[in-house]
Amino acid sequence: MDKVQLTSFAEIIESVPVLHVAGEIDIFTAPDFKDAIADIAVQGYTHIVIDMQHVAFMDSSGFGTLLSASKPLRPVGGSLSMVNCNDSITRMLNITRLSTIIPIYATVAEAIEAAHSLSEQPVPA
Amino acid sequence: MTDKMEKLSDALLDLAVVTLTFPCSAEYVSIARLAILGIASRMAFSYDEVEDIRLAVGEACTHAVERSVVADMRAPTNDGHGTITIVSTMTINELTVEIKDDVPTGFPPEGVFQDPVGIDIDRQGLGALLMEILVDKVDVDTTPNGTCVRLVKHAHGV
Repeated sequence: MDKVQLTSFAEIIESVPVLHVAGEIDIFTAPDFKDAIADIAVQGYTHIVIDMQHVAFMDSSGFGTLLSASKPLRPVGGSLSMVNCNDSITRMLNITRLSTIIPIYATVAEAIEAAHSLSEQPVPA
Repeated sequence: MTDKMEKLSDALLDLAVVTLTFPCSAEYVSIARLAILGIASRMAFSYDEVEDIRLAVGEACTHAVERSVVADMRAPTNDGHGTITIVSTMTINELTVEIKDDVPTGFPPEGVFQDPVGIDIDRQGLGALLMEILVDKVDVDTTPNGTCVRLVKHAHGV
């Protein structure tokens, strides 16, 4: 069976990495999603924005990946945020209250602005 | 024909069953979601409800695949991944979806579940929570030879 694709690419906008993802995130593609985020985190970035504009579906595999990725960022004052989530994904993130841990923004610009303002705050002891 | 018999006859005519069987492997879960999307879309569910059913069925399949990976690790002599069979029963106002797998149970508790696909969060707990939230009823029947998750969603009309 052909591999169901999850594609992604990262770009740096105003010093903040933005990961653009396309496809469906489930048990099959979640490892690729995790690798894509890890590739950015390993470079030392503490704020990561994920652009979900072209993600049609995400299940608990994706939610789990996001939680895992955000865990090491929070103690160092970092953040993982999402933009352009579709209605279904936004609804699930809100129902499960994961949106309180991984904030959702309407645009990349808003997410970057939030990352910059977090950077200005002191890192929690 | 009495009224009662006519009603019974109508109910039987309204009943439709769709069965799908596929390998218990991660790459096939998206096919299950696609199939249930088509089935639920034929019924009186709203767009959000169809999405809820699609996600819930995907979570049940994901759970089966995860257990299959664990079973294969615990018992390498296991013959491959096994199969998942989805039986969708449609009535005029209710969709029942049974997700049956033949993954042997009885392996060490799932607490020792060691990240078979490289993600270290308790996704099984998250998946189970999502199923409970997304459909009206969730039943899980476990036997030594497999598990059946039964999801029921009532259609209230759109």
